[in-house]
Amino acid sequence: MSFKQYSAIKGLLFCMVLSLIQACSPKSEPIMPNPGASNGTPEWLVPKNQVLDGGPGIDGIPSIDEPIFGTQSFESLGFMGAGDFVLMIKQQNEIRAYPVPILDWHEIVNDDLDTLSVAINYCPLTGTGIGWNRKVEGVKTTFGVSGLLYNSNLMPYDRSTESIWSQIKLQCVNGRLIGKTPKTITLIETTASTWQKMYPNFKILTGGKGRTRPYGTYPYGDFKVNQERLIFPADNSSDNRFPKKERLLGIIHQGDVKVVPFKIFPLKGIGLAVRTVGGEPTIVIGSNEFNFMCAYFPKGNKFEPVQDRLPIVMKDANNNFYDIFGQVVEGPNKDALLKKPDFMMGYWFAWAAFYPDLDL
Amino acid sequence: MSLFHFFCFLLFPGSVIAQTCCSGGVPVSANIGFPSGEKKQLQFGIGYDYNQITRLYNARNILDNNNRKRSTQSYLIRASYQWQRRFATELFVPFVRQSRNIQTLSNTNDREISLGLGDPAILMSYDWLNTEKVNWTSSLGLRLPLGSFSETNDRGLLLINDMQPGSGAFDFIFRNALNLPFAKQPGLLFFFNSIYTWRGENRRYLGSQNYRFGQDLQAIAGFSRNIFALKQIWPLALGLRYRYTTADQQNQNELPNTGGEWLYARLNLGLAFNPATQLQLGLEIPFYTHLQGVQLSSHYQFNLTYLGEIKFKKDEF
Repeated sequence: MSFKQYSAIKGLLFCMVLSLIQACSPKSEPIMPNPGASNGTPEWLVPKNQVLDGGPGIDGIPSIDEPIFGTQSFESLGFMGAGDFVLMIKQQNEIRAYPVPILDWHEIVNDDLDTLSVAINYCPLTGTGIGWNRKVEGVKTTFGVSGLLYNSNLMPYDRSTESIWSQIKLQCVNGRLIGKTPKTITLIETTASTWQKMYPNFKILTGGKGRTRPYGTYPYGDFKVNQERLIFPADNSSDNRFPKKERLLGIIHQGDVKVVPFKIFPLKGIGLAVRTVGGEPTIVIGSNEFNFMCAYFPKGNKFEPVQDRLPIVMKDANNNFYDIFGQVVEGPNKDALLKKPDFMMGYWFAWAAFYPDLDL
Repeated sequence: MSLFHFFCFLLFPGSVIAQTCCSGGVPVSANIGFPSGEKKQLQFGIGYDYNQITRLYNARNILDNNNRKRSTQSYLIRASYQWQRRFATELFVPFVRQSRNIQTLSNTNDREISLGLGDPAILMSYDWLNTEKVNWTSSLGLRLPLGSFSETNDRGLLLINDMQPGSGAFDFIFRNALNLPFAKQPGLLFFFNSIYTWRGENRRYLGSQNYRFGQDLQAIAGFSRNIFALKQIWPLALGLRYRYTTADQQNQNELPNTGGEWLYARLNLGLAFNPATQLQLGLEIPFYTHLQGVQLSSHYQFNLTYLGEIKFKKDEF
């Protein structure tokens, strides 16, 4: 065969190859632009070059949209130990718990309580969990995991407008709702054993319809215990006033933030402390023994801790006994509820990243 | 071209490495390696690989609620020049298109795409044995970090590193290939090919972090022979490919949900137009997958490759 013939055959075959490539390529489908891309607001309220793709993509970490609850003990779930955490919510008299081993895999649970539609947002990389009202600008929506991270922290997106939010910043940072703040709902983080001690017969999340993940396995290796390790970068990560993964209560009010460590509380029982946040005195209730912290505005009352009566944690001078959610459950003001700042537990590096001027 | 060489073309066809959600994914390792040629012979290949990555595994179990699809399409240009009877130099240049499709939970389709030059590789090969019946070749190669690892999506946000065409790191490739007749069966050949890729570290990951994809070991073994049908020679090869990768490392810490092992069944069918040119179709299906943690993994892979050769006479070169 001459070289010319050879070249001709080569060209022919190459065309065949290209045709087959074309035929084998995936057919084009209608494509939804990424969250935030379709709504004409390219600006971001956080540095765009620090918004990172976490890998799985939008909804690649699937939120739970049809949660399933049980009233069994945490042991019978099969994937929880006594020291595993739950996030607790109380709305009216409805109390529920969301196990963190489930939230590690789904990060968001869109739930409907009797009087409230709430998105439970939990970021396993910053250890922060908070509830957001799902009614946004008068429209009930669901939140999903955008797959993006800012300062290693979850960025939920709302499915009504595809706007992107920052969990710890408590703000929409891109999209049609840019600048809006979520209406927050208090969640309290504690261990499964404390939950069971306080609310043994209440509902606990056991999974989600159509969702299967290995809940008994923590998805991020030694991340929780390796103090120096960050998977994604975060600002101000050299601030070593606390170990990076130390769990602290962050209290947010009127643009001011304070963090509270467990070590200020006694090793046994329940203790109280006072901090000023956003110019308002704030009472912090904490327990190393039962592994929780929460914060309320005292409204001029003086409190003292109550021991051995969980979920009651304190009482005031008028013999009103308050549960861990700041509600009077016994006493002359029964059912009264203390006002509260936003608060959530979180790793130190996350608080230092979002609030670099944090004054301890 | 000898019958042996003809078979050798079949033994090292293009096929992509399995790409999980956290492996490098640019298909170099299983595509390198031309058969030993004659002195001053140029061999070349133009290929296309498609790797459909749709199965979500937790270790060995497939999870049934995956809404993600990944695919890697690779356009491959390969060439090998035989300098001396035993020495050859091979060049491998990939162009890679990565896509990530997600059926969102509000039933819309989200797609991220990256496209670009992958990391090319250059290898030096030495034939320890090169007879009409038996061939044993070793290769040492270097993969160069020329592919981009800073591609962004349509909003200008940086894509995750396994969606990038390049790795940002120098890798070393070690390859051994053995071919020999099997049990005096006329026309039946046994082949064994092992490739180890030592993955280097990208020290510019996310600005100033270090990232190293998992070390990669592959072994391919099987049998090949010619089938005569429809007045044509149809070279056929059947084999197995084993692949093992260690976990990726970020700042010297193992990254969870990366690494694992796979066993693939592979079929290659060729269409020989003449002794110097042929078209090959390859198909690989994993039948054993054991991953570390939860990862997306390959469902099937296929490749189409056009192979040819040019012999330079002394006065032409």
